[in-house]
Amino acid sequence: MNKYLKSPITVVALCTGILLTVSCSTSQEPKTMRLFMQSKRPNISLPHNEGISPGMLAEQSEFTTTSDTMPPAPVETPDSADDIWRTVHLNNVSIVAARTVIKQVTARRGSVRLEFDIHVPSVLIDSCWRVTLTPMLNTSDSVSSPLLPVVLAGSDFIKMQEADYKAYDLFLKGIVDPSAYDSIYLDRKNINRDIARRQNLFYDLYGKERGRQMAYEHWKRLALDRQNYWNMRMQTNRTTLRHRLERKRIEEGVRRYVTGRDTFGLSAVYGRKYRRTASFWPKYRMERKLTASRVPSKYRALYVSGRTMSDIRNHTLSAADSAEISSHRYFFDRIAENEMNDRNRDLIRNRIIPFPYIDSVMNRQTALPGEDYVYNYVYTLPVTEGMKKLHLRLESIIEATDRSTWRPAASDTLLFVVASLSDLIDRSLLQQFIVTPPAGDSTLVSGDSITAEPTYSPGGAEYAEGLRLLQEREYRKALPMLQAHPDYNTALCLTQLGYHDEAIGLLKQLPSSARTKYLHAVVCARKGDDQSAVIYMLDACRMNPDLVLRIPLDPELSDLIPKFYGLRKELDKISEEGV
Amino acid sequence: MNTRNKFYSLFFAVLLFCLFHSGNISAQFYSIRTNLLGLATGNLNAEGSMALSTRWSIHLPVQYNPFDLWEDAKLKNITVAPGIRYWMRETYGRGCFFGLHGVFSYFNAGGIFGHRYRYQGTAWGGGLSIGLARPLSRHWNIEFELGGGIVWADWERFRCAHCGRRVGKDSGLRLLPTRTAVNLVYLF
Repeated sequence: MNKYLKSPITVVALCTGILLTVSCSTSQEPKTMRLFMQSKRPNISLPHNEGISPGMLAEQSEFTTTSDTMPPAPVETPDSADDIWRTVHLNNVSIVAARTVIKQVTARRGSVRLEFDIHVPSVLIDSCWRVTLTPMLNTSDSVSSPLLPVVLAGSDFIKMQEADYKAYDLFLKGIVDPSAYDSIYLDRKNINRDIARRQNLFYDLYGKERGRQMAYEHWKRLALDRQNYWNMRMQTNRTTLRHRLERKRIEEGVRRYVTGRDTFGLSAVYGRKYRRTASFWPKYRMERKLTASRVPSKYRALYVSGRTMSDIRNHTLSAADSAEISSHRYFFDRIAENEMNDRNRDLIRNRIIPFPYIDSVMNRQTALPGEDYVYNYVYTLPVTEGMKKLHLRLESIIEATDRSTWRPAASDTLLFVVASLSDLIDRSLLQQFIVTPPAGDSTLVSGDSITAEPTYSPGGAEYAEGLRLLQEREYRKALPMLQAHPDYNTALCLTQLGYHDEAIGLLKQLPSSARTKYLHAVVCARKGDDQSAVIYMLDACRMNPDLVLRIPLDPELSDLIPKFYGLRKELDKISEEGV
Repeated sequence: MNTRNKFYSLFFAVLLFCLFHSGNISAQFYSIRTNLLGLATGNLNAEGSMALSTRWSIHLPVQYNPFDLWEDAKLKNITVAPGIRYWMRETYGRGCFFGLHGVFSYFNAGGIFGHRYRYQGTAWGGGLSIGLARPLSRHWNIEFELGGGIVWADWERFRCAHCGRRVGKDSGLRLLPTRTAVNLVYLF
């Protein structure tokens, strides 16, 4: 006994049994159980080459990453009206991002290109589940809309989906169209039985009538045979009687004649004797006749109608009879089941396919367990009026083949602040309309920013409203208010509306400044006058070196840098000198 | 040959003559029949009949049983039951008939089915019957008849173990089945 217990085979068998037992005992645990025992999560971040990419956006995008695990909340960022092309200081990390979208679009019809990386740690990747990563874009404080998701499905999960779809396809193929009921749900066996039963009925009816007719004819034949025979015998009896009496009369007459007696009246005597005898005894008088009253009741109708064997009408099974029988011989239980399946095909689809394919995805990929997954997500969003900030967060869900799920902690939030040429507004021009400066602050307007709300003249209030609308990118509304006081801001508004010639005409009339030359450069670039654009751009940067940092945000000017040899170096030089 | 055997011989000779030479007898409106049930119980019987019209006929059955059955059992009798029939369709034809008949019988019967007594006496009376006739061929019919009647009987009762010793004498009216027949009929 101990020898067997100590043998290696026994030990291996025991270990295998224990392993199987353990695996079976844990088979009821959800497959996502191990996800609850770790702290990794899918996250979003900016691409690593964010800083080195030259700015070629029609719009300026600025973002911040906030490490938080709370439900997404808009992170307070500085107003975009501030010096937006500079680095904006956010709560944690602030990076100026420049994205390339469309070059030749105006700010009015511009769009912003959002680019970010989605990171999924390897611990969250498994062959038996699917990771669905849905970026949620919030263009305002309340409205949040999902972008196309990225789906990372494991091989086993994909196999399960394929098997589910195959099963559902089989289910759909099992649903029979009503037009095919006749070929599939017709109960042919019972129809044949019904038809055979009907044919037997018709045959039995004919057989009964035939038997009745034969019995009647047999009876009639026998009855007539007897009747004729008896009538013949009666006639024979009468004739025999008559002739016997005649012979007697003759003999009597001869005897009387030879003896000399009178023979008168002898015929009358024998005549009376004949009539008396013939009328008394039935065998001389009883003539039989076949009448309806002497026919048995069961044959009387046949006798009266005179029906013959060929008059018997038989029934035949017609096509209409077959159709009528068939119309009530379907597998009605299977039809009801089929119609129920047809009605509930959506419910059944949900039951068979718990995890359907996600139709619209940004990317669908088979997960490779053991490796981190990074996806560079690029999304182009049209810029609408008033769009300043874009909050982006990532919602994720992991769905396993055993239908267990796991939702990770909230991801970081990316905040994109959208900027445009309208950020080049010169608010210092509003200073001329100030009537009464607000008390307690000697310097109300500092540079391009307004720190307090002063009191303006009537024309100044309208001009201030125009600037506000210009900042909100409502250029068409802003233009009439700004046209009353043609200046740099008016030229900026004309530029944004695409009135380039009018903008150039106005810029030429304005005093030379860094802003006017920069705007002139943009307009010239848009008009295709690259040479003039470079000249104006360099003049502007020399007057205000900070504008070098602005160039990557304006694709009209950033496109010029690779076209002109040494321009990059010249701009870097101006920037260094400015610092 | 004693008298009894002479009677039997004459009875069967008449019956066979009637059966096999009926064609020579101009009596097509007559019939002769025998009750098969009666023959089965040892009653020699024959019945002559004549059609009076298409509905009426007269009958004269005669039955004679001279046999000792077993031990003291016997059903000896000589019976005559003349009667008339009304035929629903036609005399001797297919259909029903009703009969009215009289009965006269001299009997010496008993010891049947373990009965201890033997009865000897006379009986007369009358009864009604109903029957059904079925033609088999031109000359042959078969009839089924059942009837009953009231019979006045006068008998002496004897112990079978001592058949010669009379133990009682009685008479009275009895309601009895007077006709139980399956007749084989020959029509002339």
